[in-house]
Amino acid sequence: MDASADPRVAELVARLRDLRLTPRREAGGLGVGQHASRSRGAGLEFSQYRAYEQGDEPRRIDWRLYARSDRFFVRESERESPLTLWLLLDASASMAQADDARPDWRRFDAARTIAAALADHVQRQGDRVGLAVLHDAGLRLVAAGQGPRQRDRIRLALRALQAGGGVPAERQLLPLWERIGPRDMVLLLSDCFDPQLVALVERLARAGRDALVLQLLTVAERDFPFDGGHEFHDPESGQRLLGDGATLRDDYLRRFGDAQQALRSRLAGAGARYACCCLDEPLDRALRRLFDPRALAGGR
Amino acid sequence: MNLVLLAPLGLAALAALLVPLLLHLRRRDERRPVDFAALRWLRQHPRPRFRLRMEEWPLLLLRLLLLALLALWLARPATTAVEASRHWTLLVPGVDPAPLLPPREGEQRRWLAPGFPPLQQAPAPADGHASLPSLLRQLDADLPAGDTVSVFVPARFAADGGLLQLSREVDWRVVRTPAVLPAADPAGPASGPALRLAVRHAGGVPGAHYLHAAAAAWSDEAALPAATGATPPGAAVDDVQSPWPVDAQVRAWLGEGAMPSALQDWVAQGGTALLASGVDLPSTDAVPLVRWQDADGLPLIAELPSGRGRILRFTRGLTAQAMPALLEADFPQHLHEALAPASPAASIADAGAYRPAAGASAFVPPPRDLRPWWALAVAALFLLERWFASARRRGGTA
Repeated sequence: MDASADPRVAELVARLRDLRLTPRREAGGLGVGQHASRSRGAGLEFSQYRAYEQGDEPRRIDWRLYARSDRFFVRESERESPLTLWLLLDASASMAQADDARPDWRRFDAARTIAAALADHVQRQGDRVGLAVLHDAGLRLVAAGQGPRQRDRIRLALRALQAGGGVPAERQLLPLWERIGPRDMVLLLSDCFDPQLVALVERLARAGRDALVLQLLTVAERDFPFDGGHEFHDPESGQRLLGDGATLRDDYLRRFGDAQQALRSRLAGAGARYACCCLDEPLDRALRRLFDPRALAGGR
Repeated sequence: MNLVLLAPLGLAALAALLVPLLLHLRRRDERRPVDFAALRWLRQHPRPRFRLRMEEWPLLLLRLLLLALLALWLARPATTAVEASRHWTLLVPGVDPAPLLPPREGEQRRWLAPGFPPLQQAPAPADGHASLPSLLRQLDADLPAGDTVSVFVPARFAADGGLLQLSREVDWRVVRTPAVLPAADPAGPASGPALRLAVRHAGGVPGAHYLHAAAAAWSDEAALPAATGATPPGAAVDDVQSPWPVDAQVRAWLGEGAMPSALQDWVAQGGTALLASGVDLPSTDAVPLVRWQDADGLPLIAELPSGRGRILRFTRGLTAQAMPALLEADFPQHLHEALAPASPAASIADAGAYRPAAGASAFVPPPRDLRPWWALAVAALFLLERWFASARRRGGTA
C-alpha cells in the first residue's frame, strides 16, 4: 500500500489537495482560523487581530494591544494547534465485499485507500494522525504521530491488512478510550452494519470527540439488482437465505432505507457527522460531503 | 389458396411446444450463491408470488414457432388451389369457328380434340380412341369446379353407348353442319357386306372345304356388289405360293409350324388371320380370348391380338370327329360371328338428344403438397434460431 505503488491513493491525494479537515468546534461559523487554539504560547504563526465579541474567552484577549488602544482585540492564529485525526478502520468480514461488476474493488479496498490518502493529506497539513484497525482478533493500533514517517507507518500497517472475522467486542475497544484524546477527530470507515461500531462512534461523539462516519455501501446493497433465485450468504454471521431477488427487492429496499434513516438520525443526534459512499462513486466526492463546512453550517 | 392438412394427427406433435416453454421457464429453485452483508434487512418469503416468468422471450418465441412449423409439417400441409373461374368454349372439329362472336375476357376457345389445341391450330386428327364423349369427360375432370363450359357440336356425331353425365352444366350448342363421322372402318360395320375369306392350305391339313362352304354360305346370305375384284368371295386356293387376294378381309392358313412371315406382317398391319390348330402362335403376353364355344362350353376358336390385327386359331383339328360343330348347319354363322371384328360401339348420335346431363360426382383435384417449401421454411427458421442462441452465448462470454 505504497502511495507511489497504488495509483488510486495517489489520485485521491491529488484530488483532496484543497480539502480542509475542519473540526466541528471551529466550524460553527465564528472564526476564520482553521483549528481551535489550545496553546497560547509565542512562536506560533500569527494570523490577525479581530474585535472582541461577546462569547470570546477573556484569556484570548490581547491585553498589550488593549493597553495601547484601549480596545479589546482577540489575537487569532492561523495555526495555533495541531489536529489529531484517528482513522478507525473496520476490518470485519463484511468489509471484504465487492460488487459483481467490479470484483476487485472491495469495500475494504475503498476504506484502505481513503485511510492512506487521508493520512497523507493530514501529514501534509501538519496534523497528527493515528490508525486503529477494528477486528475481533484484536485491536491493531498505530499511535498518533506526525510527519512523513508516521504516514509511512500507517501505510505499512494498511498494506498487510485483510478483512475477515467479526467486529471487536466492547471490551476489546477499551484501549481506544485511552488513546483518543478528548478533542481529537475520529473518522470511522465502516459499512455500519454492526451496531457495536455505531455505538462506539456514538459514545465517542457524546464524550466530546469530533466523530465522523463514512459509511461504505456496495451498489448491490443500495439498489438490490438481484433477479431470479439466489442464496444470500452473510459472510459475517454465516447465515443463509434463499429467495427470489425480484420478490425480495421491495421489502428489502424499504427496510434498508428505514435502517439508513435510523442510522443517520442516531448519528446526528449524537453530534457525529455522517456521509455515505457507494462503491460506484468517486471517493473524494464522498469525503467532500463529509467535510464540507457549508453543509455543516446549513445542517446545524 | 386453401390450406388443408392431409394428416391432422401430426398436430399431436404440437405437444412438443411444452419443451421450450419448460426450458425457458425461470427456474425458481436455482441457487446462485451471493455474498450479501446486509442480510439482516432481508426477510424470508415476504410475499410469495406465483407468477410464471420466462427468460429470453425472443428466443422462446422463435423456438415455439419452429416447433409449430415442424408439427404442421408432420401434418402434411397442402393447398387446394382455387383459381378464377374461366369460361371454355369448345368446338368439335368440323364446326366452323368463323360465326362465333369475339371471345370475352378470360374465355378460352379450344378444339374438342385430343390435347384441346387452341382454335388457331388445326385440330389433331382423331385417332379413334378419343371420341367426343370421352373428350368431354376428360375436360370435365380436368377443369376446376368453378369453370363453365359451352360446346359447339354438329347435329350428328359419333358417340359411345351411354348417355353423357358430367359434373357441371354444359352450354350445349348444336350447329347445323355436315355430320362429323369417323372414317369408315376397314373391316366395315357388322351390318355391312359379308366377310371375304381367302384360304391357303399346305401339308395336307384338312378342313379347307368346310371353310369354303362357310364362305360360300356368307356370300349367299349377303348381297355383294358386282365389282368386288377378280377373286370371288370365299375363294380358296390350295396353292401356298399364290398371292393373297387384296380384298380378302380374313386370310385362313391351314398349315403346320410357324406362320408365314408375309401373313404375320399383314396381321401386324391390321389384318385378321384364321389358323389351323397346328400353327404356332407368335409368342406374346396377351391372353387368348375365346370367340366360339361349343354347346359344352369348350373353346373352339381362340383370338389373340397381334399388332393392330388379330389372329384366330381353331383349338381342334378341322375334322368332323374332332369338331362336330363343323357339320352343324349354323357353322357358317358361328364362324362369321367369330371372324367379324368386334362391332364398333360408336354410333351416330343426335346432338340434340345427346345433351350431357349434370350431376356426376365432380373429380376433386389432388391438393398440392406444401412440404418441400415448408421444410425450407423450417430450415431457415432453424438457422435463425441457432444464430439467435449463439449470439446470446457470444454476448454472454464477451
